[in-house]
Amino acid sequence: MAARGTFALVERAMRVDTRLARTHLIRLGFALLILLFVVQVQQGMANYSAPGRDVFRSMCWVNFFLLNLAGVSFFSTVITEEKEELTLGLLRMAGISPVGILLGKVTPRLLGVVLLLSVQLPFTILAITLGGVSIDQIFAAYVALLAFAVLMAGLGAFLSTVCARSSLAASLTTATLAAVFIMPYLLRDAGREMYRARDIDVVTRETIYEAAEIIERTTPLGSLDVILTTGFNDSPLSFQVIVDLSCGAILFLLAWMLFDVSTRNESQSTPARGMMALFTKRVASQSRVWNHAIVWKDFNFLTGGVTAVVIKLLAYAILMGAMSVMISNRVRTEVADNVGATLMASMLTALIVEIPIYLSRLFREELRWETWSCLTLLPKTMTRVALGKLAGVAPAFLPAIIVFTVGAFIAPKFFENYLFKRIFIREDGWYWMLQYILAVHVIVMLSLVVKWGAVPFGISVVVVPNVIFMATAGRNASIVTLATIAVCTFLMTLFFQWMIIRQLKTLAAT
Amino acid sequence: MTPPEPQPASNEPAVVLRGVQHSFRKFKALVDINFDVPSQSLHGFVGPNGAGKTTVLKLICTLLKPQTGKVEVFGRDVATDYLEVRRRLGFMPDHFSMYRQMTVYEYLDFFAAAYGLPLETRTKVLDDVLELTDMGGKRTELINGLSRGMQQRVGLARVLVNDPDILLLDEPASGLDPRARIELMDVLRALRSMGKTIIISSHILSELAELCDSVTIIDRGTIRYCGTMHELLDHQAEYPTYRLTPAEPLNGLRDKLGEATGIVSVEEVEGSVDVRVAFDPQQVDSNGVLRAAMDVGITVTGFARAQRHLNQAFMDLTEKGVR
Repeated sequence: MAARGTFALVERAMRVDTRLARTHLIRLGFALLILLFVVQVQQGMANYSAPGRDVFRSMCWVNFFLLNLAGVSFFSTVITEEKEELTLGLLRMAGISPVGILLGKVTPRLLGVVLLLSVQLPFTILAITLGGVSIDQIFAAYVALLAFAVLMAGLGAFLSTVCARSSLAASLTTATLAAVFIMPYLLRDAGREMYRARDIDVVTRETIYEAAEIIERTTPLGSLDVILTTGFNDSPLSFQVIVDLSCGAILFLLAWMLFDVSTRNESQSTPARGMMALFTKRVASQSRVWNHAIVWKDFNFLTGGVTAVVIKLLAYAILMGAMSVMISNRVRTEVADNVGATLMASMLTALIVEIPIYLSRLFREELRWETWSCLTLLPKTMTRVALGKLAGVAPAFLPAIIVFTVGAFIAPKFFENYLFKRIFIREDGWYWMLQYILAVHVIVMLSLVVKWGAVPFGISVVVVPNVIFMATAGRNASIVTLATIAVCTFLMTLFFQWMIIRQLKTLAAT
Repeated sequence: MTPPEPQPASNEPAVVLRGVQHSFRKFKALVDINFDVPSQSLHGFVGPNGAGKTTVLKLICTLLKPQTGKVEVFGRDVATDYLEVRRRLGFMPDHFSMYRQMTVYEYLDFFAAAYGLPLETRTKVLDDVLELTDMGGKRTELINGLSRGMQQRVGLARVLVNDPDILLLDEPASGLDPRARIELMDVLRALRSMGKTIIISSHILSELAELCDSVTIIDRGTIRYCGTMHELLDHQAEYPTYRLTPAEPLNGLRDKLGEATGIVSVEEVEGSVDVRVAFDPQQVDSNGVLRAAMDVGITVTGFARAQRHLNQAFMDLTEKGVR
């Protein structure tokens, strides 16, 4: 019965996937991307010593990047989406066991990834023809990537089993991946600093370095470089493959063991009140809605209100304060410039990350809780409603803007000469800003049509082709070429704006 | 918002639909819809699942734009004058479309502010709608923690905050317990007496029959009936039918009555000793039927023209099966 249920789930998922045009478009997009690599390399054949290997290396890194995105969005929602739709109980009542549900949900997604990788096979043969890469290397690289996909699937199954909501599972997956990728650098830094301060001896330092290396070798981040070295002749069953497969299996088993405990009490998910929860009894009954009601609603319920803004500002201030102290201890000259530069760079990064996250939730939350139609029935145009919502989330960016401004005051020369004149004007910062605005529009549009993964998918759609372009032809592109692309980007942004409004109108009536 | 004296229904239609068609891709949801809803009336809107009720309501409330034809609310075209139509209209959808993380008061205050009511007016309006819907005691409660019936009341209170002239209620009584349903109907009667035009889509026909002044029956995207409730229920099929109440069960006398001149059929009324007698008016009149009943030995205690129940009218006018 359990096996039949599992097969039924897998079959249904595969059928649905096959019928969706989206699935085939993604595969087509992927194939076109790889074709772009080949064309780029073919055009500059004279500059490459091993063109086939360079094509294949680009393919591998794109795969690795997309596998990480899949881990954050595709795999981390595997069980939480059933929890949120209250359908997990129905699956259990149908007699499907926990392992059956887990297998039935994870397998189709894993197969989807395998199919996406298999699209590339004809091109890998081209890479061999171009020269510089052997069939053994290709085989080992795909084994490494597939093992990483199994790890992502296991991690997704585990976190989506123990977490109540997709957003939490996705956040924890991101945090886990970030920790694994950053850990080796942090360990090396810590080992070096502690050795310098004579807190540890050379043996301990070397042990820390070894630990960092082992962690690095557990992901394709470390193993792909080894595989793509000329003369690679090792077994495809590398340390990374064994560790990833084992960890994937262990995480899957843990998900199985914890499944009953974590999914026993099915409760309807409800919109979060966030920081407003603190004031339900004390303040909310007395405080009144602002005249700009939509701004009030989104400020309080989407961003968390004044409390969340103040907490975020304090957190940024404390973090940046600590970093400033560290910098002033290390640097002897131009302390103010260094501190100011750090504040500005950090806050710019924070803003780049925060903006798409908030904007992807702007309409998604209304659609999720079926409140969008009521909002659109207000005697306001769609544009005014959308602008009101934007104004509501804007204060969430204030903490980062305030700290950035402080940084600009501390290091005005850095702001003017480096950040504005050099990065923005001379080094194509303006180009990337336009691409970023387009990416944000794509993300908002995707948030209206997909249930999860709008942010990573939107970023990958815009950023990956741009990175490839800049890394190859874009390096030597004339200002005319860049300006033409910028105009196209601007037009595409306008197009996406129109699409967003159109989609919002359609969704209001459904 | 204290209920004033009932006002007579106005002759000017509140809603007019002319030649409206609407398709979702290849599926024709509405085929040439024409009907009027009288102003200040309580209008029932009934039809089987998938008949096109919600599509019509969405067209009236401006969520959908008519593909062909014209929809007017108080003389305003919903396609071009949608902002003005939205100001005069309140729509309560069939699903619980609510900011459930808000308290009742926050929720109503939010919509009042969104409709542009100034702060000083809002307090009075919210107190009134909370009183009307009997939700005053729950104003600081989170909507999420309220029962379905209570949430339905909050939904009704929400559509009242901008004091609309017309209310569109899509299945407002679905999922409510009997008490909540009866209380909801009382609120609707009170609103009708305040001069509001109310269009109510529901499957609970017995309550609609009691509540509504007029009714529209829609099936497979076409209007099957639009008129007063009285005319619909009074409308006879082929032959006039009277309800006869005997002093005791008829037993064999039923067949004897059926054999009398001009009597077409004698049917038992389920759950009572009464019978429905249909006759051919060409051969006999109602007096003749009564005389024939007494002639066969029936002691008659009641004899009146039989009205159809809305259920029966609905079954007669709609087709079996789904689209």
